[in-house]
Amino acid sequence: MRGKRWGWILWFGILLFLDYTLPYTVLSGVSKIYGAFLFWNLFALTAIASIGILLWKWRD
Amino acid sequence: MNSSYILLVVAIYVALGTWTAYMSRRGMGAGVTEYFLANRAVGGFVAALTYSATTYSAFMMVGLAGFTYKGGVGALGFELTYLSGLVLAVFFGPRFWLAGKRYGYVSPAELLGDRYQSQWVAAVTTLVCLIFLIPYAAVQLMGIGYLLGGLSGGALPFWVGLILATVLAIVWAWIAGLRSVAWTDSLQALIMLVTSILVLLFVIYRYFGGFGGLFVTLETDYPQWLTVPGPGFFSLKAYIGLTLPWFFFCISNPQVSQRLFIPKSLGAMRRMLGGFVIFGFIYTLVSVLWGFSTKVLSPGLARADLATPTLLSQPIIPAILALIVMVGILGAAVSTIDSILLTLSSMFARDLYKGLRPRVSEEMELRLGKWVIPAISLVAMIFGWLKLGLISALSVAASAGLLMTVPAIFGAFFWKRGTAAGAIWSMLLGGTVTGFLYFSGIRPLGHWPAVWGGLICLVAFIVISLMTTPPLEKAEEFLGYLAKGLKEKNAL
Repeated sequence: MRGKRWGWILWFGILLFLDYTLPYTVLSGVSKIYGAFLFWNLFALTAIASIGILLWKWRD
Repeated sequence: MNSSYILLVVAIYVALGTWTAYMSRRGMGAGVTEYFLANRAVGGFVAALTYSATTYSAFMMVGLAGFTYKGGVGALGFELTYLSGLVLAVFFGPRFWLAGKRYGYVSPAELLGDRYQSQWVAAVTTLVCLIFLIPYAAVQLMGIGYLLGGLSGGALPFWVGLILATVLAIVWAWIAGLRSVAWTDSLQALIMLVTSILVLLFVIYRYFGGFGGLFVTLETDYPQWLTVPGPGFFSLKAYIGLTLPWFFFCISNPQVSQRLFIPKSLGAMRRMLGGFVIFGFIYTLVSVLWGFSTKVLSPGLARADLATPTLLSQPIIPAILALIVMVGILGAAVSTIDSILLTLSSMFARDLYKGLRPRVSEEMELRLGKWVIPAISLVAMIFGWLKLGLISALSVAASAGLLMTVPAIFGAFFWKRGTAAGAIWSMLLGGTVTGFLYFSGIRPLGHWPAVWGGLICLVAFIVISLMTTPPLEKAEEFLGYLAKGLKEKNAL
């Protein structure tokens, strides 16, 4: 359980790292809807899907 | 817009909400747990809606739309970073829920006080929440004042909205405690979501011919608004300063974390959190697209937080649609305020008053909690009357202050070595530094108050805990019970 916990923490850490870096570096010159706007939508959908997987595993 | 139309629609909303609040009293029992937590028996659907309505306030369609208007796409990243922070509720939710059922906790402050074996921890947590949540409630009241004033073209003065929202929040919290708050929240959450989507779709298709039209206009006329730092508001330091407290919002804000005690089962909590993230994603997109639309349709406004009321009062928006959005925003504000009032009143009665006078009866505790509701409301209303600064910035300052409770919360669940002294001093030092930096306007090295306050708070918690004696027996028993429960529930 502890190994899984750290795995998920690492995964969310990577997501957050991308959240703070990509829009301010690679995408800072892309003034199109497929730039930071699309990235942050995909970031959120990935986070939501990950949260969904974790919730799904709970036993009632 | 004619103010009599506004008052008519508000009257319908008030009648519907008050009827819902009264209906929620059916089958209501007695006692503190029943009043403040609806007896820990709330179903997943209602829990998801009350969680959503409590979290999302007038800030979204007023403040976040204003952020988008002023700073562009960074507002989207900011709010979605907050939403991703809900992963914390996946970790902390089952822990709060299990501990609440076993030890009978009513508030997050009570949990901290018991875990660290110090009533002073609960009292200081309550004080920090009172100090920082009253401005947060005040900005909601201000939002309604601005909204009604802007929509009526000034015919309804600022104070009309302020007083209306205050009275509604008091009455709907008073009638049946969390039951009436949760049921009126549910009604308001549905109103918020449906009205905002409907009006956004109308604006997008009526004036841009569809989403593609809006995006093309933005790319052509406002390309900077699609990048960060873009127009300048969302520098990286500002983005970190804004997102840091909001990422931890779901555990730092007691009106939200208290909701981790209320689901009737872990399955209901799953539906609560799952429903909330879907609601939050849609509502965030709607608010940001509303801000972009406002930028294109009504550029050149002097104040970003007036963008929404100003757009709604323009002739290009049909009166009926403006009224619908107004009700949605009013609902968003009131549902947040009454939840804050109820949570703060439970903390005041249980963690301050009862903490100092342990022999007080449950009946007296409940009576006091009920009377604290209007008292806190009046303080928030006066604060709102002072109209301090940009509405969004005030709201964020409140979250920055509440961030100072986070190390103590983490320590309670994940660090046996954490102590009461560490928890108390981390909150006091972090809260003082955050408050000082915020009110003085000083930003060392360009970083926002939340960054410095959070850093000092974290260091203080660790260092002071290591220098003092932890309640190891309680920590072993508390964490041992949770470990067993989490394993049974297959939660991380």
